[in-house]
Amino acid sequence: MSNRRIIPSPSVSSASQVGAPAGPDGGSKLKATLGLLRQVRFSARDQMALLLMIGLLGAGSLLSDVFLTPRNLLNILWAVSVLGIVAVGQTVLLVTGNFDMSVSMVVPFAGIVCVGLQIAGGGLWSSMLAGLLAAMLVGLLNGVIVVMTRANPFLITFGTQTLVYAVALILTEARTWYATIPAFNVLGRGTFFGVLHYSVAIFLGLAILVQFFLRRTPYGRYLYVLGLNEEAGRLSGVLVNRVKVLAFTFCGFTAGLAGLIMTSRLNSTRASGAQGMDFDSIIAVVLGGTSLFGGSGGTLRTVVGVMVLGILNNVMVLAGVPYDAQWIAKGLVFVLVVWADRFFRRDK
Amino acid sequence: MTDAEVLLEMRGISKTFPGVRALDNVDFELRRGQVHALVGENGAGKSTLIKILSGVYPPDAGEIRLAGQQVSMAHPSDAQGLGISPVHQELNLEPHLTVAENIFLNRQPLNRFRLIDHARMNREAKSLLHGLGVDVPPTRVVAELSVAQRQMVSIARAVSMDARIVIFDEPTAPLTEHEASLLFAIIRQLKASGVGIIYISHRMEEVFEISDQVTVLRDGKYIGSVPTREATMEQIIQMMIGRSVSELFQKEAAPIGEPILEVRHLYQHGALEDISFTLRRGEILGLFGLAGAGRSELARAIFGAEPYEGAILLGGKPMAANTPHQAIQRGMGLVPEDRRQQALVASLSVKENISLASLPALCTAGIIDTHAEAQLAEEYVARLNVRTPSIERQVMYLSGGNQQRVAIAKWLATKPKVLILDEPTHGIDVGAKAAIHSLMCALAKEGVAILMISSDLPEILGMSDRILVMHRGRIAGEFGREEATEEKIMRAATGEAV
Repeated sequence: MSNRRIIPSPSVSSASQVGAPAGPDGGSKLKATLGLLRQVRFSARDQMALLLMIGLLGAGSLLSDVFLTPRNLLNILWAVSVLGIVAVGQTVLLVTGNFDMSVSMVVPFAGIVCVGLQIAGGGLWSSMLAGLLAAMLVGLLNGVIVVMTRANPFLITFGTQTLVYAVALILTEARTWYATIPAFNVLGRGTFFGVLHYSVAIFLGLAILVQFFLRRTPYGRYLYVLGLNEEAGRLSGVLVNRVKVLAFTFCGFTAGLAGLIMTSRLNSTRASGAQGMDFDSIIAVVLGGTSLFGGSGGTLRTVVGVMVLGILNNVMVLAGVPYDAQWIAKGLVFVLVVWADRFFRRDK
Repeated sequence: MTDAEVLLEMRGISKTFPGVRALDNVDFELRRGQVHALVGENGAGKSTLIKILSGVYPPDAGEIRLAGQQVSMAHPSDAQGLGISPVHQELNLEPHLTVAENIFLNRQPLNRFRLIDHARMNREAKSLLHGLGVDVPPTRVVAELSVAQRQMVSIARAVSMDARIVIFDEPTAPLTEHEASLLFAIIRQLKASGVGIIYISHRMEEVFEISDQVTVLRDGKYIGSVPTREATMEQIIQMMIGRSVSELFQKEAAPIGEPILEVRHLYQHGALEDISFTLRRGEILGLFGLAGAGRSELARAIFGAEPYEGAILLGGKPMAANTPHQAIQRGMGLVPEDRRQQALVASLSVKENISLASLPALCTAGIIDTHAEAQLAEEYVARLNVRTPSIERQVMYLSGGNQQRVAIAKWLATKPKVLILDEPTHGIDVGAKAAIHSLMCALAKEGVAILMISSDLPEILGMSDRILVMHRGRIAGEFGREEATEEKIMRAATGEAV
């Protein structure tokens, strides 16, 4: 213990356990190798989701020959794209240290507003726009309440979730509503060249766009500052309340977009149509490596996180895991992800 | 030393924190029924001494004897068990519990079913409060009480625990004069019952009113202890400020231009009272005051970070919206005292911290020009001589002095007209201090107006063209560079009429 203290750098101190290097040349080489190893270890910790994804892909390919085909992978992407779009908006909020639990009810609500307008005789574009605006309005409301009350965003949005659900139930009289404009189906079912679904393209395109926004625009930078040190941000001229409200509104927008796609895919919508998407979207974001504590991460990570959830689902189906047991896996993933987030972030 | 009257003896107490020798071989002695004032400038070591006595941290060296018995305390509860009760500024009461529940917290009287006996608890609390001459119902929730009443509850708790030593740290700071006189009556009562009282205050008049003995600390060292009756205010102030001349700083002369910042009749409830002054281009205006005088509140109000009444004019035009955002757009910058919490985003890089207040200017079509951003960071890292392996280094890994340079660099990058520096050299080493002083001189020469808040008298005297002294939210004195002396400033700061 005492002789380790006088050795200057940590990489050399682990070298002393392996055995003393022969000369100065051999020492520096060993040092470089160990440095590289440390880097790899660091990246491994940082890119847990990516490793998990590769592991799951390996497991899947053992289970079935069709698993690793482009067709199956695209299917998985298609299956997760609605959740993925919501998760993109959720990422923006988590970066600021906030959450939106209302998404699980806003997603179907956007569809209800859209389909409702169609039933009332509205046009394709105007009904879709109305659905999006309704969702953004809920997001705006979430943001304004959180800013004004300074209360816990998790609980506030839990409240608006119930509120939106109630409104949706009353509007629909708890029935399923069916879209009336056939062209509306294209959004959820259409593809580029019969290969790439529009919804997958929207999901990936949005993730890339938002990643760029986060990394290269002042507002993107402010979102991280909000998650790390709101007071320092305010004293540096960041309009913290405005940024926060915009982040919530954007999350509402993605939930609305996801709601339109989901409704278009099913050609119908009902008030409880996206139950569980609140936690699912947060778990996907944190799984991807965006911290629950705010101030880190990005939407490309979220794509990986969403994919891991999708692949896990797919692998369990291929392995013939009963539906109820799949929930056990999901619960375990949730706990592990939250634990890992705390374990890796808080020691900084 | 078997004097039965000596309640507490602290001998040779030393304590070092990373980079700071907070206490250096300090002695302190408290007798039964004595009110012993502990005075010194900010950072003199008073709080550290008190925290050691109340078991918050252990001393590196020295011994503590209670009634002749050597004691060691690993935890605040140990100190409490020995009868040492601090009455803190931020009183450690549970706001949602009642007065009686707070007084008997963790020691509630139980009935025969081992449940809390509320009736008995309230009865005992009532008689306790009555004995202190305090009229607070024991069933009231603490959150509903005034600060003065909370203090009384805290004292009642100390008495109920048979405290032998009660420590008051700036107890009158949040009180009105009437409330303070009630507090003094209680202190006299405690004293009469044989309790030893340690009284920390910046207010000289109070120290002379209430205390029997005064001990002075300066820069973590024991300077002396005198019976209050035999001391004069001058003598005590002299003991507080006396310092070697080698630490003096000298401002280089810079041409002073037209007024740029005008503050007119600024009020803030409970903190600022009718503050007016003018700051000119190229001028360094020093703002001195003791803790709680309202200096940081003034700085934050000017910068739009706190509400105020009154008018602030920048370049002759009033500030319209009261936000830091607007202040920055109009050409102001504020380096707050609390670097980690307010000045910097610790886990962002040097580059990202330097550019934070200038991002809109670094954009083309709404996109940050990363090349320009890096260039800006490199420029100011070089100009301020920030020691960092790269501009991508997270600022939390830099030393205090280098962090401060980054915090200042952020504002220089915005090309400010007015720069407010709150304790710019607090807690940084001598070399970094000198560098920041010479930087301030260079900025003044460029025509930047600087408002420098400092608790460091030599710094105030050496760097300022003009000095404002605050006391209890008011400007208590204004001195030109030539006429200012440590004594005059300290007199104004302690509220002694100038």
